[in-house]
Amino acid sequence: MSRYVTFTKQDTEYPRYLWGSFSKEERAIAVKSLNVNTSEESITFEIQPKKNISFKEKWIASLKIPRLILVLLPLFILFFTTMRVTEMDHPLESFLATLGVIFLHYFAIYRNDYKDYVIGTDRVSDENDNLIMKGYYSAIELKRVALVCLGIGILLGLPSVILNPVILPMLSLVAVFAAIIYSGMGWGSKNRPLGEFFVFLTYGPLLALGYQFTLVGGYNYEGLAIGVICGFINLILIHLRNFERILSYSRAQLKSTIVLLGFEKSKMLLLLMWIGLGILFMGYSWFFDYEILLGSSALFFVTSALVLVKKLRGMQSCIGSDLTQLRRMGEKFVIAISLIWALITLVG
Amino acid sequence: MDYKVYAAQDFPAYLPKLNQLYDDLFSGGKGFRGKMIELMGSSLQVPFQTQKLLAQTIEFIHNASLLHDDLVDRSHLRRGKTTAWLKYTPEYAVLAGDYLLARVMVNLSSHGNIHLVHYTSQIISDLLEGEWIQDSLVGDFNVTLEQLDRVHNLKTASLFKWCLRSPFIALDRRDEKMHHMLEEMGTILGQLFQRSDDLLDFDIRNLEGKAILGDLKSGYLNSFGSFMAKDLTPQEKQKFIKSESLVELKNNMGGEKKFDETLKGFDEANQKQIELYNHLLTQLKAYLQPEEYNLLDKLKPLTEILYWRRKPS
Repeated sequence: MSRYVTFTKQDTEYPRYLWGSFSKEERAIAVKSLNVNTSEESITFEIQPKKNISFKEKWIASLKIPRLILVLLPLFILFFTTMRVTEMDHPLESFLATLGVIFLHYFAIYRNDYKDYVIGTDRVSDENDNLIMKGYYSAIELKRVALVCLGIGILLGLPSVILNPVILPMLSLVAVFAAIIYSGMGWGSKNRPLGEFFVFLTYGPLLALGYQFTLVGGYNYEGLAIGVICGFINLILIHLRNFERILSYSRAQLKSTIVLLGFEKSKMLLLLMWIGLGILFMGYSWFFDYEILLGSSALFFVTSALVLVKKLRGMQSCIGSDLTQLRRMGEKFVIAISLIWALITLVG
Repeated sequence: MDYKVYAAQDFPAYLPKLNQLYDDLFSGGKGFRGKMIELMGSSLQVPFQTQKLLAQTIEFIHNASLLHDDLVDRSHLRRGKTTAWLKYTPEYAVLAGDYLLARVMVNLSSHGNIHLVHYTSQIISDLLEGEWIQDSLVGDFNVTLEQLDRVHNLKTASLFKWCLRSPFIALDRRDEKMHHMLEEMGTILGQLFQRSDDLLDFDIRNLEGKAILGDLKSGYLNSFGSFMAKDLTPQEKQKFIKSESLVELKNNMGGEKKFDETLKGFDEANQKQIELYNHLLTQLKAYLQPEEYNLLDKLKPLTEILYWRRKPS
């Protein structure tokens, strides 16, 4: 027999159940949230024994590998392309800064999961990979993990900042944008085109330029180009995910670009963005004289665009498996071109 | 309670075949939604004429959707009889459905409760959105249960939500928290009803003798079908969706035992929803007057009727 309890924000027990600190043996899964993010919010929790989650399962889920790849890609590409033209002044500090970026990335996504759970965005939709909703962490646990990641990230990056204080303004800008994105305000990435642009900037040009500064104390146009491409890739993935959820996001009146455009125009946007990414890749390859990358990316993008056109043409429903298949296909395309790019960069 | 005529202008005799079409459609129906209104109305002391209006409204909306549905699906039978579009003409079926919806709007607006009119319009809109989206899922044999739930929430659950909320709205009781709770309860009732209906397709608790595998053969993977198919390999799924009989389907799934285990899992998942509904029912008590508490006793057995298709024990 299931056990349910309901608390409103006025109840003293409410925070303990929401944060998961009410019991060591049991966990409270939020199954129904009413009047979300208002003073009259009430949550119905299902009380379950804490499930035995294997260390391996928990850590694989926590790594959120697809998102990690999106952070590692620009770092990897930047590292090898930058090292080809100059030498690192402080290799150890640069290595630590690289690790620091990864920890800050995890701080951001864990903090995002925590915030979206507490505010309620992820509690009203089951279409998410929120670690708390999946039962891997309680809210308070994940908040602590996020803070530990922040602390480690700052410590690891500190030597580079001390050696290159000029990157402080850029880091501050990244922090501001990240705070806006993950604050759960209306400008967040799920809700507004502006938030989507912030994600493009933060995971694109700003990340690239900031990282180049930690490597060599300066930047070049190639670093900026790499940042733009990586930011664009992030944006495509956001749109693919939002397109998969177009029905529920539209009915929840979340005004993302996809929701504003609607089903038919969004299909066009996705195709144009994919073609745009191809143009960016080929432009980058041509301008910086990467002949192999130029040829392989041209072949790849022409082929993948044709596959994408066929897929989009056959899509007739704003819900259903086609949208999930499109998202997965897009993710596979992104991984494929990322691997091609990384491989070509590695072998020079 | 006879819902057919609320206002004197309902179903004028000068329109040929309309009355006959209506009588054909309505006889044989259980009128469950209308009975829900009576159940709610009697406990909440809703005036009789208002109860009649509400019952007519929901039955008209439901039957309008059936008239259009049968034409869209090209169904031949409804409630054991030839469908309206086949017996009369497709044009009459469409117009009859439109007529029912129009009478709903006329009678509700004459009643004067603007909140009721607004909410009913919203429900009709949700119902039609659900129909539109469901039609787009024909042929999609990879649709997930969660995706189907979204459609059913619009299509099926919206009417149950209306049954729970409209009597309160008619009495001008518009406490937002209470209505959110009623919405959640209506969602669960609608989901349970739809899932139970989907089980009939696989001859589970099929007391009505509904055609077996009708949904699957029409290219539609319903909720139980989706639940069964989620763990199948692509090759197994191909065999599954091409099954010509229930015996063949069970074999393609891995045997009768596997089928029964899957059914048990499905029932358990829905039993959790029933427990959640019961919990929400206890929360509803805070919004009722003492003389209305008997409403809770009347609402509690609905899940047993709708999902398990049996009279409450």
